[in-house]
Amino acid sequence: MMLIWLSVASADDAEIVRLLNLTDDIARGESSVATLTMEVKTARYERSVTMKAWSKGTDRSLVVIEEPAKEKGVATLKVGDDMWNYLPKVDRTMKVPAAMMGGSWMGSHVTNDDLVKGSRLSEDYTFTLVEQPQDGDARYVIELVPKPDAPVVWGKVQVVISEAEIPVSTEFYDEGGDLVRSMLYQDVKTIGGREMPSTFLVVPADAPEEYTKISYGDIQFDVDLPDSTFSLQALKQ
Amino acid sequence: MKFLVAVAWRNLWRQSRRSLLTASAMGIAVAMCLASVALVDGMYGAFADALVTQSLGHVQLHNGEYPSTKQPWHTIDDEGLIERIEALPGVTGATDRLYGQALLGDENDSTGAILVGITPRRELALSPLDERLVEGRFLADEAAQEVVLGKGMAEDLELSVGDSVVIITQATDGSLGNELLEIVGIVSSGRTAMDRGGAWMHVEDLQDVLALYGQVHEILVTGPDPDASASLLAEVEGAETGDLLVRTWQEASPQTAQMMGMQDASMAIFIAIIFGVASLGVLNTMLMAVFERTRELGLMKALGMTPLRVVALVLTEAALLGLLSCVLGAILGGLLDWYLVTEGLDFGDGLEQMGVTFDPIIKGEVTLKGVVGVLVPLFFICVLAAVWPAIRAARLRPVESMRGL
Repeated sequence: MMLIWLSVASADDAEIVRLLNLTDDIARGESSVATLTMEVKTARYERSVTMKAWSKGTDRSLVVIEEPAKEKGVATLKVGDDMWNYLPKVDRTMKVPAAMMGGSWMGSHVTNDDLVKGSRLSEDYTFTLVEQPQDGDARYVIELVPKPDAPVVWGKVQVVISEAEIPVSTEFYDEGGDLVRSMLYQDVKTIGGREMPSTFLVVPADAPEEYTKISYGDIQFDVDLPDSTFSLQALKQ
Repeated sequence: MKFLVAVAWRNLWRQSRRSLLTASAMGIAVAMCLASVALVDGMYGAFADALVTQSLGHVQLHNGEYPSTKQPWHTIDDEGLIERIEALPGVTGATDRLYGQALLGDENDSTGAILVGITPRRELALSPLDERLVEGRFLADEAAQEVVLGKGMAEDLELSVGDSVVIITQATDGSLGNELLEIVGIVSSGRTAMDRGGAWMHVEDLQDVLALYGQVHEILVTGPDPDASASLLAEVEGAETGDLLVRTWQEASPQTAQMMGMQDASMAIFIAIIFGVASLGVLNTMLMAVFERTRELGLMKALGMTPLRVVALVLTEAALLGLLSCVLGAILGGLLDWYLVTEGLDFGDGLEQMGVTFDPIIKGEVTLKGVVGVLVPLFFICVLAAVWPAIRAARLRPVESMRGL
């Protein structure tokens, strides 16, 4: 099935895949080490969490909270589709069960699933380029519809990329076609030797007053990280 | 009057076999009713205790939003409120509960759990979970990072008393609330959902985990009688409840109220059927008595007995028969009741109502109301059933009845 589909893919399709990969690859390299701040605003609380993140390839990452003091040392390890949380207060590691993967990560509008997903948009969705820069709006708009058995929860995804090939936004729709949340890529600047959006803003459609804002303070790409960085033993340190 | 009773009594024993048979049949009916009432009252008591007092309380207090949203942050600020309620004269008990959902387990094996934060001494006064322990002990009075698990969950996770377990949940401030708890007891509460996934912990421990300091989700208040919840409600509302939602258990759970009401209705129907059959027995006996004494009654009327005296005579006979039935029934019913109260009736497995499994042995409960409610109506039904035969007897024409037959 996949092979047939690949064989009919045109050169245009390859171009769209390249554009989609731009979105997938923001802040992602062969490996990376980053410090970032997550600000969460909900109707009930506002919180700001500073953390350090390590990643390698698409399927390994480790995030450790540095602030606030109460949560210092809380860490999330992701290897493949599995995810663990380390809780320094009780000195225990807990695997996140499948049933909780849709739950909020650290009280934000980002789900555990969002963090674990290592696959590329172009693998899970069929896509159509609905707008190109020459159409006057100076941006690319790509519409994605999930493939029949793709493990995704969305009914439709819309990716917007600027003429300069910098990701602008990704909008997620449910199966009824209603907007569920938007992800906006802002504050384009050069960090870690790349020109990239340094702030990700997630806004849920049903509560536009709320948001989660992830800002990269510093990022280094292609750092030599041993696999052992992403082990349960390392999680405890 | 005395004369009438003496004559009626002797008349009754002229056909001693028939009278005794009728009285026995009715006595058995009375005994069956007494036993059924005792059993149903016992069952009703068990249901009321488990489904109302222990689960719903008689009056409940919530944040107005909580019942519909079930959002953890819709809480009651517990500051002094429960103490004020406990001090009310009509209140026999009050418990404050905080609910939470969490992942409970260890590194690799965990499951979703319903956490119930309680003040142990208050909760135990309402629902004696400590009597349902299958292992270990109940929570200590002071918060000590202890947990009591439902039996099913403990088995699923292969945990036992003495083991440590981690709970992890989304606290209301957005942080990852977590705590290491020591399992001190395992309980078979009889509540299906709680046995499969429930965990009880000290309310203060759960407040820490959920970052809901000093808050609870509900306060359940009990009085001496679940049926008197309306007056209890009025009393509780006097305890400065502010803008909290205060409801009786009937308002909080109409389906439970409906189910409890059905118990009463079905019992009433059952008793009515038995009494209906019993009254036919009296009717038959008294008709027979009137028919076979047509000649005698005619003579009495000829000698100057008024129709009213005839009616009184027949009704007195029926009343004496009813009294005899009641005595026989009370003796037999008393024996049955005694067995039901001391031994109970074993319903085997599967005695489950609304997610609560009951002790399969239901013990009878004898109340004055139950006994009087059977004996008095039966007595009057006896008398009532004799009205028609009595009127027939009163209408007899002396000459015809003495000549005929």
